[in-house]
Amino acid sequence: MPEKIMKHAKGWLNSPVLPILIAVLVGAFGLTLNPYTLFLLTRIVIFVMLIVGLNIMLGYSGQFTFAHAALFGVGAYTTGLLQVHLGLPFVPSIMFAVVLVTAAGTLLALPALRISGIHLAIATLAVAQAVTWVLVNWTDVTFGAGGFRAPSLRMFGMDKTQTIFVVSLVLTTAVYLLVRQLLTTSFGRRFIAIRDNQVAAAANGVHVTRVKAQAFAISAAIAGLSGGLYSSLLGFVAPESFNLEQMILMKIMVVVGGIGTMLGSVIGPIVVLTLQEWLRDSEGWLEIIFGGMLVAFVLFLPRGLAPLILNAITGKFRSQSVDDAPQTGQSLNAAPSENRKDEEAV
Amino acid sequence: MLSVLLTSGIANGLLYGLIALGVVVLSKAANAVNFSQGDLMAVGGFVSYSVISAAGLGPAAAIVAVLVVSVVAGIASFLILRPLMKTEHVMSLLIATIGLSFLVKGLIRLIWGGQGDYLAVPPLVQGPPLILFGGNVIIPLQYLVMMAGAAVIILLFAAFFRFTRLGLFMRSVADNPRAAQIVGIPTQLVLCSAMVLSITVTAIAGFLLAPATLIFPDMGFALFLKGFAAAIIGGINSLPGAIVGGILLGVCEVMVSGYVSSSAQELSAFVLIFVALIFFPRGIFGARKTRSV
Repeated sequence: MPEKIMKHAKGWLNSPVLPILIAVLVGAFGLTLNPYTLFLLTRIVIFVMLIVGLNIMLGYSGQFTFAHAALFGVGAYTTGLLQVHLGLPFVPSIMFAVVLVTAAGTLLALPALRISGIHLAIATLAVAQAVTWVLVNWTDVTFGAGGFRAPSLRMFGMDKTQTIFVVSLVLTTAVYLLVRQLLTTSFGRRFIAIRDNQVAAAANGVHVTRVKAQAFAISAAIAGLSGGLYSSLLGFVAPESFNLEQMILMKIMVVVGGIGTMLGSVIGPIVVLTLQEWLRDSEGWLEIIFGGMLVAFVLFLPRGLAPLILNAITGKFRSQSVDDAPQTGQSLNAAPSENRKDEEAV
Repeated sequence: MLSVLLTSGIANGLLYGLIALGVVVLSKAANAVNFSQGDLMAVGGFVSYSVISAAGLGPAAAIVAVLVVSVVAGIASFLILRPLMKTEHVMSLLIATIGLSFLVKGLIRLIWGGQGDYLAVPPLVQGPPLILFGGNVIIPLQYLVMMAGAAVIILLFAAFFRFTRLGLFMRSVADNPRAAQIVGIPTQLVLCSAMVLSITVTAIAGFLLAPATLIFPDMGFALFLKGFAAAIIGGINSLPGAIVGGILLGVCEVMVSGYVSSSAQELSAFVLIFVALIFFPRGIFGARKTRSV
């Protein structure tokens, strides 16, 4: 009987009903908020989408890259600049941005085919810095370090924050469900196979080159989409929204939430962005707390908050059976990117 | 024009070379990369600012202060990162050092000021520039000090590895950690001293660089990237390679800034890193291995 309840609970966690229900509740709640709080909530929603994409690269395929903030930025800049320079409407602009960023991300996969680990991290870092350099110095097009005003989307008689909130929430839920579904298919499992053991994956017939490129492309497409939404939310696009510091914040979101977990991609942005808002005007404390948090998580909780929360939920159902105490599953020595059974729930 | 560019390129390049030495030492002995290295270099600059400008003491006191701070920082970093200093934890270590880098930057900001604060450190020595070849080559004294300082550090470094017991230990651990442990070499001590050495040499580079530029809390990372690039160009495990790579990068940068455009200077470093990593991942002096990356 307890097992049956357990199974039931698990099935419920894995069905698309729960995320949609949560999204609807968040949507109804969000529309009652004042514009500033709604702005923060929308930022979290957009970052959830971005981190879901980043997790494909970092957590599921194990490719340690630093270019995501830059891809996110290219998405935002393309969406904004097409509207500003060519007067295109929002939808075609963001669609073009997604295509462009996907192409850029696929190109980034080329170095990843030759190098890995630290070398890949540094190479993509160099690319990201170069992109930031272009954003700052190509002033004719990008308006340089000062940034530019990006037009905001407005629909259905809502104000601009509400519009972008609703659009982001719908798209984030869709991306979340799609990616979660994708990772249960053989297509998605190949990412995990490459992360866990590239040679073994190749020996089992996984086309490593192609699968890596696919992981990069999907991840980049999501970054482009979230970047476009972000430009509309901010209303003002400047290079410092996409610099290395932002990239490190994204890494912190992934590690704090739980690397390679879907639930972690949701928790990470909530925790980090809330903390960031709270520490916004502190001189230095933001970096000290986030830096310390990153070190502490890698050392003591390398699998992040997601497994803890999952166990808290499923543990309720499990506690009825006798000695089936929930395993927190973290150990000091387990690196976040290894010895992990792939877990996906919620 | 050319001679001025060359001297400033070599002077900067030697400092990149010092950072690269820090990268190589850590990579050789512990197979690790420390992202907070650049920020600790900034700490070197800020400490010398405090000693020279704020406390009004001489450069000798500044060197002592930088050494003390970097040894303490090195031991602290080692103690924090020790559980991760194993080959199977390379990526975890990398992420943890990113955290450390953030932490150090926050501390700098807390102690020495906010985002927009640029501090100027007075030159270490004052005097007329050195004029060679009847005025054809003019070397500002500050560059001369930088070069001399870097040269001294490099010689000390070479002597340390060649003639001291700890240097021998470090070479043996780098060569084969398991065998070194079996014959009774204290590997933990070696890892700790590699960390300390790496941070010390970087902090000294920060001390030498500080008078030539303005110092600010965010300066560290770009410099670390350049040092890493120099290490890659030289071959990540070669100490002389680090210096050669640093000089190459420094000269390449000033040539681009002098003959192309000064804003392209930053870009040239990134392009060089990328090209070096993709096409020459073993570098100039790197050992040939069947599978190095």
